[in-house]
Amino acid sequence: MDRRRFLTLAPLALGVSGMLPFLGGCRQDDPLRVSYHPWIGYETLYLAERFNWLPDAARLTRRQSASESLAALQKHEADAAALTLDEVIRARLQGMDLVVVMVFNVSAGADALVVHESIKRLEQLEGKRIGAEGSAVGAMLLDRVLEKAELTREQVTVVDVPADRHLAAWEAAEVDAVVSYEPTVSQLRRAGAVLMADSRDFPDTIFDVLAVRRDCIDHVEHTLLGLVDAHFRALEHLRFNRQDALYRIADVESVTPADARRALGGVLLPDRRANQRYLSPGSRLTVAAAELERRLAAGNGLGNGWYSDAFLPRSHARAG
Amino acid sequence: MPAERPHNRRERCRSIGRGRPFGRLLRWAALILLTSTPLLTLAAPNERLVLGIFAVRPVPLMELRFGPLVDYLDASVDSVDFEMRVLDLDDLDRAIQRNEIDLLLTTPTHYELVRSENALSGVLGTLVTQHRGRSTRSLGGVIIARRDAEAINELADLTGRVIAAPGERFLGGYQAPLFEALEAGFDLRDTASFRFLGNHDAVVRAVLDREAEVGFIRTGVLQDLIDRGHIGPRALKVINRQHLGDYPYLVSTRLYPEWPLVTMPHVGLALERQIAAALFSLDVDDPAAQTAGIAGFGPPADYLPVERVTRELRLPPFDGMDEITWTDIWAQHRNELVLLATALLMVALLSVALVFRQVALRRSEERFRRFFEDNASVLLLVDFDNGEILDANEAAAGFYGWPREELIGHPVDRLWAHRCQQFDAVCRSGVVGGHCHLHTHRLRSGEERRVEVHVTPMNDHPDGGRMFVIVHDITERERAEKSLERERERLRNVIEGTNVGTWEWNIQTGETVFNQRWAEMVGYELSELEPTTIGTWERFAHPDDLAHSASALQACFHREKDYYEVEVRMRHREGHWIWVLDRGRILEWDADGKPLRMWGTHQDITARKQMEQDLQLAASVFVHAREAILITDLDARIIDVNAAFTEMTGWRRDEVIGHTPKFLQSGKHDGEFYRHMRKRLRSAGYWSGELWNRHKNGELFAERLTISLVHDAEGRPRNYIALASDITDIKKYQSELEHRANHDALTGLPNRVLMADRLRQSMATARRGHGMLALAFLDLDGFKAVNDVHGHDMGDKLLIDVARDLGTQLRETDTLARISGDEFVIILGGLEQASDAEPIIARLVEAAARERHIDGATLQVTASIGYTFYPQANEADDETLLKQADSAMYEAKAGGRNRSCRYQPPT
Repeated sequence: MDRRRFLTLAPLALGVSGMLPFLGGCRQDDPLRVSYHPWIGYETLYLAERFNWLPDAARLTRRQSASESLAALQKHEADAAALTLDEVIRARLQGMDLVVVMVFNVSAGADALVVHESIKRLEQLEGKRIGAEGSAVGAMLLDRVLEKAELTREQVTVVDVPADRHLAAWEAAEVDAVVSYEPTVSQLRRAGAVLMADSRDFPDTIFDVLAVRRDCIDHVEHTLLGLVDAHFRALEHLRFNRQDALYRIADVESVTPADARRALGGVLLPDRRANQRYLSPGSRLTVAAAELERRLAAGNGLGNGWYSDAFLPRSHARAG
Repeated sequence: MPAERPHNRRERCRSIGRGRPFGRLLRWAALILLTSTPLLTLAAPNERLVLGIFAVRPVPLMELRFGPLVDYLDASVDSVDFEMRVLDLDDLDRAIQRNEIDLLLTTPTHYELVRSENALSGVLGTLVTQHRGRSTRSLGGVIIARRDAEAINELADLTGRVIAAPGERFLGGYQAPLFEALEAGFDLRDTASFRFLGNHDAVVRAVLDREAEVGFIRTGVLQDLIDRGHIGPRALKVINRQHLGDYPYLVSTRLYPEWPLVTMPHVGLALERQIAAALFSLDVDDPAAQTAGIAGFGPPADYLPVERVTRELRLPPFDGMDEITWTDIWAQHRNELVLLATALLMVALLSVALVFRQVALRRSEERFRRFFEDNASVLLLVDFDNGEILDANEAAAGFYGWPREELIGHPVDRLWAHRCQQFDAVCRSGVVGGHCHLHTHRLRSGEERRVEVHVTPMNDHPDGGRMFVIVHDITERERAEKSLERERERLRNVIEGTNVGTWEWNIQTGETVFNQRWAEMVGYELSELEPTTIGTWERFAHPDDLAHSASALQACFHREKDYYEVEVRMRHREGHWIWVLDRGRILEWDADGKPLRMWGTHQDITARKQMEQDLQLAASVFVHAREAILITDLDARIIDVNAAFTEMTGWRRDEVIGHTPKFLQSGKHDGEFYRHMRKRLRSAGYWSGELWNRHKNGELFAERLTISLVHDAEGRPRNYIALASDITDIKKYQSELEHRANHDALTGLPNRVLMADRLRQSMATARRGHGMLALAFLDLDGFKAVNDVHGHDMGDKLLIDVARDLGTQLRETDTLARISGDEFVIILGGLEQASDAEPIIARLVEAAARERHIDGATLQVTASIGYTFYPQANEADDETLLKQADSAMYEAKAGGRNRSCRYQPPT
């Protein structure tokens, strides 16, 4: 933020915050239980928690995988979760009414297919065992890869391996290829796996989003706003104090800062404005969702109710 | 840290404050001693660059550390001699101001400060430090306390402590820890007391020596001191330790970029490039790096986080916002400031207004409270949503019979005798305006009272709507109103039912009030007549009737009569007159007995008048009619008869009333006639015809009679009315006319018409087998001579005489007819045989030839007769018979007259 802008906004911010009591103040929300799992795009939540930026009513739970997050949503043990777009769409098709309120990141290389060094071309995947997290983003990337290789799922053996076991499964030679994501991909590559394809080959396909159960969205409105706000604050930290952020992310993910940096390179982190664009009709997000929906079901049409930009911070004195 | 250093340090601290020239001299000496290489190269004509280094740690240590780096630069960059100057902050600043520094290696916070005062060419590279094989480009703050300081474990424990720090412009050694605490909610500048000791080593020493409870130092210092054995590894603990994985140092804060190497603006670009190349190619294993404890230099980092921390902490160069003068701000942000000032002014005004409103509101609430409590009316405060009574006043308690405490919290519908639709409507339609409705409330005693309920919704309450309810008991009022209304209704119905016009006359002013019906009677709308006075009435009244009315009124005014009643005519709009029964009475008198007001009615009696006139007319018709009129009931008993009846029948009225008209029957009509008459009356209600009746004196008379069944107003048969006129004379005249048509006027004998008729009858009788008939044609001989000699009178008398004689010769059943002048036809019926006729015909000839004495004259004529018979062998009609007889008569004439001749068919 330059001085000029600071001077312009500071009194306004003061004025607005000063007037807050007159504007009615905040209502006490129900606790908002947010589930997420290790993934470079979601670590803003971790950073926000470390810096105590989360709203009081937000409870962050770090689970092992997306599948666990989905299960938690299903069992009403979580109210919101960080998930990939295809997981959200799948969940919706199975009857779970989730609303996308924020885009964490767009995968641009961070999701990848790594293979045994003996496999040189995509077609050679035929008959091979491919490890992937069943319901998660891996499935989608795998679909795309197989499509590109002109193979069907029947022509390969898909082994359902949760993300936290990818490295172990590789080392135990249970699989010939793995669809995984950073930082596991880096670890797999160090263990000898070769990168065959990644999400850069399928741009604007893999979105990581924050999804909230519709049945509780009204009760957690303010907390949700605070949570999204904290995410953007952490995103800023990640941007301007990258070293610090990398050390922290590396620490929590038990990888080197270099791995974390590499993982970060594999995602695009949309800021508030970009989020606003994504959560609008006709955006690339909605196009991707429609495409997903078409692939997953006959295509009943998702409508517009599955996403909302209502929780993005509007004019933000802290931004910049 | 060496034990001998503290003295040195303290001296330096002082020198920073006061003995500057002396201190600098000392340092110069040290510099010359320690850096021999630059001194040697001084002789060469090389360009000389001064590297200024911020002495964050004791100067000798710093010089020892960075000496090899300078050597390295000397060796790497051609034709440049590098000189190192490790200076404390003030000296460094001064040197920079004097432009004695070309390259600068300093803390990021100091860099920010310098940058704010100089247009630097920028950061050439960022230091990369290393520790035990791990390198990093980040530094942070370390918060230390003695391990035995059990009360100090987290950021919150730092408040109120004595904290040692190297100086305000240190990042790791001051700003980073300060910011961390600030983020956690503690501004240590307010709550802790700081000791600024110039460098990190002094801070560590102060903490160990208990001169300070807490110390702020940068990352790396602690491990360095431990590594070099200056302090024990367990002597100190790190507060708010961060978990940063691979980061080589213990750290208490978030991380910031390491020191920048900055080039001053006057260092040329080419030289910058060479230096940068040298710095970036510094290998981690190079002695220069090893000694300095660094891994080399990396590309320039983004120092924005540092700036932000300094900014947040409002430390130099961002401490003095006053450096930006108000004039600057005004110049740059005039519009925003005006806007802001306006906004603030508005806020202030609004706040003041708010306060006033609050005060007014409170007063108004107090007034309302008193109004509510002390009001004699029943007042309730009701919750919109659940219909609960929120408050009720004493009057309410008194009215409903429940104590106030019980009323409050009561659902309001318990007061209702039945559901209140208005309440639902008010709730449904939202909070708008006041409503008033009638309802029935039930008291505690069970008694039901009619109430008028005024509801005023109030949306003043944050938790939802309330309504203010006023309840008036209107049971008595409503009862009285109802009775009055019933009374009015009755009167209205009477007026309406009797269809009378009403008037109310103020006798003194003439002002008169009429009702609509009054006006309607004369064909107007009441509004068309307004303004109405007594003149209005006079205008419509018939001039001839006004005097009558006036005298009747005068009688009332003088109390001669207490009732005014006249029948007057009024002109209808359409021009005709209507009859009105005008009645009234004076009901108000003043003390002097003067009439004040009079009330009355108009009743349209035109129809009655009309009927009266009709009846009068009918009565006069009855009396004066030439026709006899007889009225009976349905049983044909006589109710009335008129004078003409008595005249016609000879019976008096009193003799016939109560009798049926049978006494009039003549006996000329059979029972069938009278049955037919009755049947016709029943079916058509009308009979008309002629009949014969008997006069009281026994004479018969003919009458033309019309009997009608008359109905009453409801259409029920009620009476028979018979109208009769005497037609006896007409009858007689009729039969005479009939006789004349068939008989000869002179002789009274049947004429040709009647003769032809009788002939056809006789022929019919003969055809039916009853014998035969003879037809004779008689012509007088010599009659023309009598006429010529004695005149037509004598001839006529002769003819009469001859006819009489001929008639005496014939039987009753025979016919003698005169068909012209002196020609006669004789029909002899009922004959057995032809010979039966011949003696008669012979007598006729004889009788005709008799000598006669008429008016003194003696006359004689004879007769020639031709005759024929019927039936004959051939079919013959009456004309044929006459021709045959005529033809035979000519035979007789030809045979010598005075004889008869039978028709002989031609052979």
